[in-house]
Amino acid sequence: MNFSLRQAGLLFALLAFFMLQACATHAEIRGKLVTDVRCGAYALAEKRLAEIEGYSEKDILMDVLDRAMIAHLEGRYADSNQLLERGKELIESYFTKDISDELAAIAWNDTERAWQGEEFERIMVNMLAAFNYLQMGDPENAAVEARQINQRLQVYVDKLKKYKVKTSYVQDPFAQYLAGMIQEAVGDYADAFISYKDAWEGYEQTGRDFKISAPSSLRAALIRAAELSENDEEADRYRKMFPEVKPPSQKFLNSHGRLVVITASGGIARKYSAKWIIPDPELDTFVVYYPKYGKGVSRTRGIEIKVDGKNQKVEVAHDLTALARKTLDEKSAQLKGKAVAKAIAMYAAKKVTKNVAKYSKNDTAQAVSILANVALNVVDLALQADTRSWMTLPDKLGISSAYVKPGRQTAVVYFAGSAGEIFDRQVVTFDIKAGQTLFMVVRSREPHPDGRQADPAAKPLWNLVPQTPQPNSARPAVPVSLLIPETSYNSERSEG
Amino acid sequence: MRRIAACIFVLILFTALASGCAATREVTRVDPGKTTDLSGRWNDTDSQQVAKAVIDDCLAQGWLPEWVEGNPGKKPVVIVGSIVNKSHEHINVQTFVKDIQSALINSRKVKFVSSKEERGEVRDERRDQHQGYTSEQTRAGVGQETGANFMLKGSLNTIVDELEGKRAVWYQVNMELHDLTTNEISWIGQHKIKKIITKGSSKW
Repeated sequence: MNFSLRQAGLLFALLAFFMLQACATHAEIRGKLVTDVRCGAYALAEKRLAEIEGYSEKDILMDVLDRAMIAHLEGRYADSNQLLERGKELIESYFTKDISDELAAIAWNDTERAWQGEEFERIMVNMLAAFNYLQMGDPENAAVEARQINQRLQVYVDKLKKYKVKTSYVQDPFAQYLAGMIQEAVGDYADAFISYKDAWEGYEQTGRDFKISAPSSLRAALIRAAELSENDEEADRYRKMFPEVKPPSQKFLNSHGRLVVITASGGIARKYSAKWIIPDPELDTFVVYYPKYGKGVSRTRGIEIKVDGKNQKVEVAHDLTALARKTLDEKSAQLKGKAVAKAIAMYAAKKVTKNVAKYSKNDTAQAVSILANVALNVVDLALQADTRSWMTLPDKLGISSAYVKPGRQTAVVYFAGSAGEIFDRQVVTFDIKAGQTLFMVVRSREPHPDGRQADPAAKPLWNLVPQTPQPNSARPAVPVSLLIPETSYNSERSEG
Repeated sequence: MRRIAACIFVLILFTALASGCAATREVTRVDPGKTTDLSGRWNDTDSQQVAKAVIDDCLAQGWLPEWVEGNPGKKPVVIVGSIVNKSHEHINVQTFVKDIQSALINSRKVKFVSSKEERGEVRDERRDQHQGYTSEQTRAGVGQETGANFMLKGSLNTIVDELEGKRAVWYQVNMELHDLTTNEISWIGQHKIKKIITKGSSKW
């Protein structure tokens, strides 16, 4: 069978169209999956992930982390940790650069390189694993994650110093704070004190860049850990530094339990391929693509916890969107430089292709024109920025801790929107002993755009008290007095 | 002729590509005593070696002959208490505890009793034997458990130093033998392992 050049051109165009279409569908499904996770449709998100999983072996880490996040939200904490361990192995393996992938990334597109995540995303792998262990009531293994966080951050800081890298992400104060809380819970007071100290210094250092100040509970934690580790000098120093902190008496501590609630709200900003357009009279435009973060998506403007008859405010402790945006912006000069170099090469290719199509005067002109269009589309695909990221992460993390009387207690977590309306309410009944510290991780479930009802929120496994079914009512059962929107929760809201 | 040759060439190329894509898995049985360092993390070899080294050291120290001298014709009874994982790795402490128990029993120098968790199950079984289903002759007696004289406790720690694909991991296992009657610490021992893990910076 003989193909004419025109037919071959059409076939090529068709194939290229399907290739581009497949990419678009893949991105669309992942977009929907992210919305499902934010809105508590976890089973649906898992179904969607199964559709796109394995689309590219270069994205395997992204698939593994998304699956781990969904498993965490569904309360399958052991499964989630198994996936996170796989994620850690992949991150380790990516230290060894695949030269063929690197060459392909330079010559073609950055997506030819396996996605390895940004440093803050790699720290989140340990944090999510720690959350899982805490939800399982296993602080000993959570402490292993805390030590890994300390170690990873130390290696990262050493690397920054060695290569004199200037970045706002010089420390992860929330990760250090979490590490400290876990270490304190397992009785490693000296390590807890060091982690709290690093967290405090981190908040001071990065607070201005990310507009997050140290949670008030960190001040008390610093004094407490210094006292518990018998570091009198440091305990005195912090007492003088924070005269407003009145640590509870030993008698009070011995007769109360402590509930630490970590909240996760909204969805982290997503990357998009931003354009830098340089006009060209012959070719219409000369476009440089580079990755940029949109805005975080979150309905949460305030979070409050009611436990033991008291209302506790949740303070924002980690703004993942702000961190992601700022660190990417700091890298943008370098990324733009790389994108310009690639764009120049592609620009030349585009120009040649277009001129061939324009000046072909024989019978094959039509076929050449079709091929030229396909080539231009493929060139555009190659120029697109690498927009991969861990998109199922929350927008912000918050923290609250409360001393409660021992015995059976019920904690109600309220997530409120801009008008003070409660859009999600999660209830956990638990038994707590005097002197015991329990951790609870709660993620907001926003109303789904499809009107779908949210799946049940995952409960901590240490909580073995039978739960009374609670309707996910938009109205709180009790008036929430402290629902004054937190300024730090008032980040821009858009579907980014 | 040329067309046939082209077809054969395409077929060979396709077969080569397909065989390259196919996932292959090979399973080889090895001697459980063989050292297998794959990831550089704590493994079965470390667990067995450390348990043996620690127990050998423990049983070679002065507390044992002193106790035997004070209790002629008897062997001290030891129980393994908590061994806490304070390392950077998720280590299954239970397998290490089993290796410690195995090294203690095989030494024949001490007697060994079940741990707190194991005791619960044994007591349940004994209680069940007294429900009337088990013959009197074969029932295990109540109130005849052997009490331990010593408790072995410990922790597993790591120090990690890492830079640019090179990682030095220092494992230190600290063990203590507590006299249950006097609360005295009769022996303190430790064993260390140092590993250097190097990661290649590039591959094809």
